[in-house]
Amino acid sequence: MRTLFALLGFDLGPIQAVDTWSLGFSWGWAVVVLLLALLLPLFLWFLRPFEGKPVTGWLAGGLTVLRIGFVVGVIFLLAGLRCTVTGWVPQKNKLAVLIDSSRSMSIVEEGKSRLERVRHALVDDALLAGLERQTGLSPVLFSFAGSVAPLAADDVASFSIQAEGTQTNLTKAIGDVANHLGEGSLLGMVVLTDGGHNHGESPIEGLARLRTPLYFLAAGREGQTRDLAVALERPPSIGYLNSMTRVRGEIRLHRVATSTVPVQIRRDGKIVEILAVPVPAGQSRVPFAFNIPCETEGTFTYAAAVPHLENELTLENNESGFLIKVVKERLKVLIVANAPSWDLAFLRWALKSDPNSHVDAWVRLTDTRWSRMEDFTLKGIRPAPELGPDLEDTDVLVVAGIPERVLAPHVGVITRRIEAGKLGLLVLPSARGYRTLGYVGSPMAVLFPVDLGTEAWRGVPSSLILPGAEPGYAFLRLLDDPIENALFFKTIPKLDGLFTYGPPKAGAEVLLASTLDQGGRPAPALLGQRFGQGQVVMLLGGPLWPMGFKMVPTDKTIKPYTAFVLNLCKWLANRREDALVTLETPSARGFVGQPSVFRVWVMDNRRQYVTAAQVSAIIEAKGREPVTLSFIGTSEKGCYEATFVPPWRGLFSVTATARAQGKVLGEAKGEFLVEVPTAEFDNPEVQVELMQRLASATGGAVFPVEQSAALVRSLRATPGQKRETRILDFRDSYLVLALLLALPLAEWILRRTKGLS
Amino acid sequence: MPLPKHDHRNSGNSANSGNSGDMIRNSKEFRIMSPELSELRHVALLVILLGLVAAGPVAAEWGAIAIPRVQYGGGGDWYTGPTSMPNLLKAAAERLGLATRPDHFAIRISDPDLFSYPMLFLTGHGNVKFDDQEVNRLTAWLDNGGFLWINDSYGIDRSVRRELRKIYPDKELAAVPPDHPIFKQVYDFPEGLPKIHEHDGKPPQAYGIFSKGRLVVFYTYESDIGDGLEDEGVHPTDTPEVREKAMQMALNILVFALSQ
Repeated sequence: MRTLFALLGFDLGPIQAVDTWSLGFSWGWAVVVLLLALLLPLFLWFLRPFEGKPVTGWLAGGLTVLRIGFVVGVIFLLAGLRCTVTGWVPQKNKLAVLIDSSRSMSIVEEGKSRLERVRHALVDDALLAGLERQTGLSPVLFSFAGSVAPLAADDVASFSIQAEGTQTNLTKAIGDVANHLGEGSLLGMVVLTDGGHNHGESPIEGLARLRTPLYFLAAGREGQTRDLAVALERPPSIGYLNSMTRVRGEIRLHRVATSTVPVQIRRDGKIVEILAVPVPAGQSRVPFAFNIPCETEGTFTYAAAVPHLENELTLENNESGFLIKVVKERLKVLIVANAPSWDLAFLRWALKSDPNSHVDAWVRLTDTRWSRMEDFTLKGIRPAPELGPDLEDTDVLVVAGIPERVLAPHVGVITRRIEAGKLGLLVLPSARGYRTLGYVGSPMAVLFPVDLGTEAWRGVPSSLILPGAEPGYAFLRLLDDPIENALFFKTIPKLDGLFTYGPPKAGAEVLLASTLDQGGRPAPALLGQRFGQGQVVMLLGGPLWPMGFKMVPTDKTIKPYTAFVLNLCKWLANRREDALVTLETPSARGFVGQPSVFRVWVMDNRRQYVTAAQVSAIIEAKGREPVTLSFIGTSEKGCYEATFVPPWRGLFSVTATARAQGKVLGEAKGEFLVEVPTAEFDNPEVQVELMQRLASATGGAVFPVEQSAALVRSLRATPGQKRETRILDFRDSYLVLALLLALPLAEWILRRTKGLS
Repeated sequence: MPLPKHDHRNSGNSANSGNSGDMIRNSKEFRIMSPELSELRHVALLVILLGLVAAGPVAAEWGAIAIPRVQYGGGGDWYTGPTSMPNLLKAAAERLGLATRPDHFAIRISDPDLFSYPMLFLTGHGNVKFDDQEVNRLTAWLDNGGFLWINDSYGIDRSVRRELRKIYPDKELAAVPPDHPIFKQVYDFPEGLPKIHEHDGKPPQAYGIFSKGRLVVFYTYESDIGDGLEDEGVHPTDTPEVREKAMQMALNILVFALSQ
């Protein structure tokens, strides 16, 4: 019956066996009867008077039948002749076969890899043909590792599958196939795997609701492997100079009997330490730790390695490396002040807005009472400041009205570090001026950009002025437009007054001037002086805090004080003052084939995040073609993301560039170490128990891959069925049209042959 | 040590008793102008001028710390204890060498000069109320870096809490523990807030509202440090020891506000 409908040009779809069928009309039988009653007599009446030919006998009868047949056919089609077919549809009409292509399938046991065993079952034992025979269903093929991908029958026939997947996610693979094919249609899934799930949600929990029977063909032999591995737990990516960074790891022993495992610690390929890690009896995982001394700035490749064993399962997990960048990234600011003040409070507040800053302070409360603050927290009260240790590694020293005698014991360190470019000095004004504090003629005086002996106080309110339209330093560019930027400085709350001095020293530079007149010229408000490789900046008036506290009317979203203070301090610290682009690598290392998300943060000169930047990065590895990444904006303001899938093992250098309106905003560089993931070998045994639990929970079965025939036999060959109905409209059939056209053609032929035309 | 009972008849104190409401209407310009002080000022001015002649021209007059009190609505006597802030600022200058402006003056929250003062003092008895505009302005002031010290002189607790809930609906007044830096800035108070003036026999308690890691509101409840800061004799029952404690704690609060 199905064939007959197919002949008429109708597809019954999933209906495999027709149970009943019936004819009917879209417009109902009444319409047919009425049409017949009206049109057929009309036609016969028309035929009789207008034939006009000598037609008699059987020919007349034949022609009449043909014409009546044609008219009846047309009437039937007009009335919408249709056939209602009811039949049986197999409920489970799909069968999936999943092939594990993860790296653990390359494990060799008894001279044969797990993937070769799979190949044998599929190709030599003709598993797919057997399944088709048994179920009548053509299997849909997939390969999987961390994710699932469809396979063509040719891929299996030629067996071009490689064990390259760096992780196995059974839960995702099976779940995705079930969703893709529809669980209601699936007769079952045949999974050829070693069961080495090592990524994502546990299959026991993740597949708890699965109702499709899972049939496993377990590839591999139990109890045939031995392996010694080392793994590091979240190795650090950044170390801070002059500190120790602790690295934790784990030694994994699989069928290895030993009391001690030597672990080599290598830096840039050279052995720096050998640890003898004791292995307690019966333990297969032994933690260990080592310290990395961050003595010099730079990027170093560290690795922990364990010895190679004879006939070891894999040597890829005998070494684990990571990249550590030893930096002095934190902006360390030391404030030494003669008294607490609002200027200092707001200076600290501005610095606190940068999570990378660290502010220590010594503030005199009384002659015998100094408050000690570390990273914005009061750490105690001391009788005198202890500046020695702080001055050794601080980046910016802020001096606020402190007498010279306090700094005198440290003048050597201060000048040496400033000269070497390791320290910047910011001099805030003193209420009493510096002349009275003992600096005139002292060794510290050379650091000041002015002659302190000429100091005078001018208590006249004045505004700040940029000395030039295009300031040479980023910390003075708070707005992009030079004119708006200049106007902006004018709108900053006025200074109450200024200290004035004689002409600045040779080489000193007026960074900000004021509206106060000094001998016909604007009096300087902020002076800078290069001292060796370092910088000294002196603020001549105050207070500054109102510009952080009061809302500046030109742009309420700008925190000018914050941006000004932060950028100034970074400049003083000899950091990149345009550190406006920050590259964030996902961790100390990435893994081949596993996506790593790079993030770039972009800010403008005002320390505000830029949302419309174009960010790209070039990723280079030695001897390889560079790869260019384009970043896209994220929901986080000023943050851009791109995903990089490392194709090779090795050290990659990343250079990210941000542009806005065609102008380069800045550049950030980083490095990224790519390792081959070893998760596939962490648990190298065939996971028969896992497969049994999954099969048992879903009504499937587990067989060794060598017994694929037994699996085929165990499949239920009679799938469940359900009834389904289809309505077929004869107006859709090409054959009905042909039959209808055949009737006038037959009449025409008869007339031609009988000489009636 | 027995603490002095609060004398509500004196809560307006001598400087403001009687027609205080009229006196304080334009209290921004209000100054304590006792004859003694006036004389002292003249002497100080003379000394400064002589000093300038002798030592040179440098004498910056910027960044002097001034703490206005809040002139709030609601009917409470915001003007109580007019000598407390001047005394505190004088002590800050004498003991800590801070540049201060020891004036007694008040501002409304709606005052255009609000943002010229990073620290405010609020005290009094009775009801405290801010209108919507004041709430918005005070919130902006606090978020921008302002520090508000509220001193419960007696009976403002309920209304203060209500008004603070308007400013920070998502924040509660939290107890400030005795190990907080505010109790050891200049003087050590290992037990926390000292008891200065007895009200209802309750222990003194320090509360605070923290915003973005910063203490923005400091509320001294059942302690009445403000009373202890006033001139000697205003509260005859306040012994010199108690007044010294109040001054020390107030200096701690000021230095903490300047240091956090």
